[in-house]
Amino acid sequence: MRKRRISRRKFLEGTGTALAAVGVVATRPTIAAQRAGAAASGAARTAIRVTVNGVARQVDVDDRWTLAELLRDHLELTGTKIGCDRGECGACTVLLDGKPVYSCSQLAVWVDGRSVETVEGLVKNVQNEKLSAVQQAFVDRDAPQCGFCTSGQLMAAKALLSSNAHPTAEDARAAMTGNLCRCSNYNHYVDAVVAAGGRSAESLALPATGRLPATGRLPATGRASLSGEPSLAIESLAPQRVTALNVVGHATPRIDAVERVTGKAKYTGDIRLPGMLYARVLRSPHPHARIIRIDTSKARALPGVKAIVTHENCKVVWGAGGISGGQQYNDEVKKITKHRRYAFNNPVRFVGDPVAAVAAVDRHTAEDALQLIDVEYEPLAFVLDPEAALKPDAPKIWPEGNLSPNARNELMPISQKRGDIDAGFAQADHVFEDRFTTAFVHNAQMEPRAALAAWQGDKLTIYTPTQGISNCRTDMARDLEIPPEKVDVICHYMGGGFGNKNQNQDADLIATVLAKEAGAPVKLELSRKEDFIGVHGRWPTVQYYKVGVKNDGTLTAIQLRGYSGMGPYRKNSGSIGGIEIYQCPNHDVTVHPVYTNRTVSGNFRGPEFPQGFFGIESMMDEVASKLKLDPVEFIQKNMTRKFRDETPYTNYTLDECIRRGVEAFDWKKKWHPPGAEGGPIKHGCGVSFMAFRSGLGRSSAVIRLDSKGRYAVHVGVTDVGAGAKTTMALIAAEALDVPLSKIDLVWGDTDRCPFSVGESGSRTTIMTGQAVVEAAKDLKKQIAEKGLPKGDEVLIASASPNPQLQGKVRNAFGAHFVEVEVDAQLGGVRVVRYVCVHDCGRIINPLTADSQIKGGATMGIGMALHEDLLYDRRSGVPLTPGFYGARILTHRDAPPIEVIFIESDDGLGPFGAKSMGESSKVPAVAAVANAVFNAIGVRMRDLPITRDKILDALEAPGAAITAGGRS
Amino acid sequence: MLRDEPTLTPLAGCTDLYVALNFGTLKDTRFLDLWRLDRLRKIELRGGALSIGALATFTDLIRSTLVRKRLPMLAAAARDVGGVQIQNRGTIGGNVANASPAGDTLPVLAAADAVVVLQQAGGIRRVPFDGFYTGYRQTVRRPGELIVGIEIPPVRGRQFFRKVGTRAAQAISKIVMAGILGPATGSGRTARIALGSVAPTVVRVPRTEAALASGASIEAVQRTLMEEIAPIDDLRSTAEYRRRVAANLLARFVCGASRG
Repeated sequence: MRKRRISRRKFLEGTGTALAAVGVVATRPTIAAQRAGAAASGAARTAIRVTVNGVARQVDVDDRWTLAELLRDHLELTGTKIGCDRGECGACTVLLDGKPVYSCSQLAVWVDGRSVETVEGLVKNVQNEKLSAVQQAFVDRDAPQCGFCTSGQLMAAKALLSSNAHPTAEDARAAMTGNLCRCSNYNHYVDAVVAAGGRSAESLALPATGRLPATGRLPATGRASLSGEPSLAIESLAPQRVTALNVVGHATPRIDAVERVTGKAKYTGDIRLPGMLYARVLRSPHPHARIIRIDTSKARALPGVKAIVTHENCKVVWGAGGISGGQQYNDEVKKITKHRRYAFNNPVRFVGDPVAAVAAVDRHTAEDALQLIDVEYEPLAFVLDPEAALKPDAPKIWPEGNLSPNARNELMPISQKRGDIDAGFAQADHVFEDRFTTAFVHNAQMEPRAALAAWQGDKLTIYTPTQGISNCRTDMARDLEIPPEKVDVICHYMGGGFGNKNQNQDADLIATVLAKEAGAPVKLELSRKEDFIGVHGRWPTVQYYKVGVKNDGTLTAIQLRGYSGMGPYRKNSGSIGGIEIYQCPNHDVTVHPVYTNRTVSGNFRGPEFPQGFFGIESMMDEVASKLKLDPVEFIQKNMTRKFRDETPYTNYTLDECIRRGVEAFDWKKKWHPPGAEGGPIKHGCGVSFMAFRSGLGRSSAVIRLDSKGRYAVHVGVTDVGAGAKTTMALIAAEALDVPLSKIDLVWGDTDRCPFSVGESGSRTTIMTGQAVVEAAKDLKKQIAEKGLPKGDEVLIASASPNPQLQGKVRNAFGAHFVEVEVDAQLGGVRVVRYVCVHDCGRIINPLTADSQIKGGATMGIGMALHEDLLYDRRSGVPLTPGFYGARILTHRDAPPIEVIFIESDDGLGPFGAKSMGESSKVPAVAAVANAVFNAIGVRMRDLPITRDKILDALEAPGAAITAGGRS
Repeated sequence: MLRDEPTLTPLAGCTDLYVALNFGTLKDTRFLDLWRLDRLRKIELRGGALSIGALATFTDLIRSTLVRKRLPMLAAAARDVGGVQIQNRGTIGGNVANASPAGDTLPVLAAADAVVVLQQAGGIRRVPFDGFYTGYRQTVRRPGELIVGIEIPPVRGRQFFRKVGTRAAQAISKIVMAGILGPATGSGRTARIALGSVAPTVVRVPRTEAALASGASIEAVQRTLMEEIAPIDDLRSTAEYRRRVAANLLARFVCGASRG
């Protein structure tokens, strides 16, 4: 992006000299090159005295370093994270003279003479590393999920507890609202802070390591915590009652929780290799343009620059970045894919498409070099809207047009038909039609994409936050055309992903080619803005429904015509899921995945479902309303009983989920016919349900027992934040019948771990977990046969099961019940009660399971009410690429979420577990939207449901509902 | 120093400057760091007026018993600025100098008839807040002048502050209103009302205030307000929304309605 502007680094470079009480600081873009050159060989430095975690230090700092940079890059205190680098997320929070500040927004020179406290200084006793009370509370309450925001949350909490020893939940929310958590574990964070202050010590919903009752509800006293954070209940379903186990089913803090609350967990950006270079990427400022010329000579001449790559000298294909049909990438798909994406493309097809990348001796030099790359573009016509993109006169993004081809390269939409749709409509007493739209929402995981690539001869080691190390390895090998065994992918900790860290990413390839070119390890860390526009989010959709129904509410036909905006490259399917959860003999689904000149769309927690469920469940809520039916009754009449009306489920608990939700929520009393009550604050209740099928795929596990009695469990999982490591360890301990403390988990490294399908599609627990169970069985058999190993002996067992479902379909089920208050004067929506009931089979770890469900529901509220990536329609430039713009929920927005698990055992998964991770996001958006409808009596058809839209809806002529409404 | 080089941009907490730099929208290239001028951080009573140093942070405002007692709506506004980290670093002087029409504390200062204290080598001048902004991001601050403080005369009457953002916290306002309502008299009540994010600058609404003073019905006053302001459509909201919500906020304020 060549703008004639002063970059922040240059600003920092200049302002740093301001040391006197009043100092003049200067930055002149014209001398930037000389300055940067100087930087490479030693820039202007200032000696400062600063106390860090109680230790007085004298440090020479570059005048342009931020405090975060000083801590992370130069004092090796990497517990402080950079999530946005512009004071919006709080991951970098440290205490400056006891007050929380964003260390990304402080210059290092400014802390001269002051005291800085970081997460590394929190331990109570450095010698024995005893955790402080707040850290221990974070561990006990499972506050960190991915852990990337945790250090910042801890520092904000520490400051609060120093001034207010016994904070309430409201105090905690106010003090920590500058700290975002995209895993959305706000309830647990707040609960932990309140517990640390001693307020709710006796109200622990979940004893940190206690046995939950195997059946029945938790005692009533355990359910309401003083902090106001509702807790968790686990109930066992009578017909499929689960039996108590020794390890599995007990609320257990994560096995790596201590690393996550002490700053010791090393994320990709925290790793440093000798001689490592820093990379930056130049991205297209145009939504669609041909690159006429790139001149990198000035940048190459800048001292400290070691490598520059552009489309001219890098022809690497990013296979997983553009896939015909958008399904799993493999060798066959590689052969056939027509609309290929390269690491660097010409023409560039969206604002943010990589144009060039630089590796240099430090990050400032790399950034300075970007400014010196001269690119001449020929802007081309562009199109942003998927429906507009299919019009005959729309600008063509690819020569064949803008309908993305299927896996056979046919220009065909996704289609699914059952029965006879016309006959279905003919049988109907009523036919209803409606249109719904959903917005592009970014995964917005707290850790921006990063990659560190190092070549040793022909062997590549890449540290990268990936949800699947094995897939990442095969993708990298395929793209680089080298054997997979020449690639080692390492991911020990990662800061969330929610689907956008599946497969390999262009950042991995860019770091890798730069490292090859420069002959040195290269680290690339994307800025928050780059992550927002350069890494994918959820595909936006337009959905047209037509539904036939009989007078008694029986469905006769459902038709969906949909359009999904995929950006200019097809990364994932683009389907719109949901209508199969209704029992109806006649379906007709046609969905068009369409190329547009926007940021690329891809997987995000339940890829096609939250948007599809919003559409279909809003539609069905509308049908119920038109027929003057209680939506719960309508759902009970029409919900799926067999998968696609044909295939039986491995077990079926939807009735039970809805029954329990109705009871817990007190639905029959709370729900009222849709429509506005008098007064400015309107209450409403909404419901949505779900059946969710997880991904499959084989995984392996290896267990090695030595003579010391240690069980090393090798699994190819990483841990996106859902707690896969702990889950695997619990399953192993249970299956081996040994205490958890005997298990050593080996994870996150393709050279050390067997194949695992990866943390996507909510399948780690059931697929890799089953492999652990099978390997444990084999090991126990070996022990029985050979006895325990002695001396140097080891026993090794492995398994690669291919679980069979006996012709059935395994689904997780659930229902969400939401109560909202809509402010009819200001348009705001406040979620006042949120009850989720889920059947995820047996709950392996109630503590982390609760976090998962709460996180998904909270994210769903954000998608329903706030999140969007807005574009300037004239320029095609995204306008809100960041946390402020995307408006993800904060501590103060996130309501308490109540979770009820209906436990069941279908006898197939590990100890009866089914999938979980994505499922709670799936029905959440629709439940919130339906509650808004119930409150105001006007259907909100376009996401997000902003204040503006609500006021528009309320004031539109004829907005008030006529059927069944209250006045 | 500013006298010698009047084009320097003074900076303190940098909470807005950083964002401008990040988005590449900042044109200034030379800066003057004020952060360590502790004497500009005082909050005190001076000659009956509440005097707030330009470098007082939002946290200082929230914690100040003087502010909470005399101008609680300013403490409320400060609490709505970002998270604690921003409140610890952002200053009232910076909020005023940045001249954003969405600045959270600015409607409070406008409604309270605050005075901006400017200093340069030659001396001090005081500018009424109502006359401080001349256009979008434009002020009467002359090159070489520094905002050193804000003075707020005693305020009588009920105070009101409400920021409406997209989410509950960490939001740039869609609309923000501050008001002071004097006691009701036979013919009406004195009112001072200021709004942010409805015009190129924070504005007072004299016609609306006059309508209130004249004892007009709330509906009539709301209509006056909707005519008086000229909001625009932008990223965060629509003109229509802002107009309606301004009227609704006014009703809440004047009628003392429930939730703010």
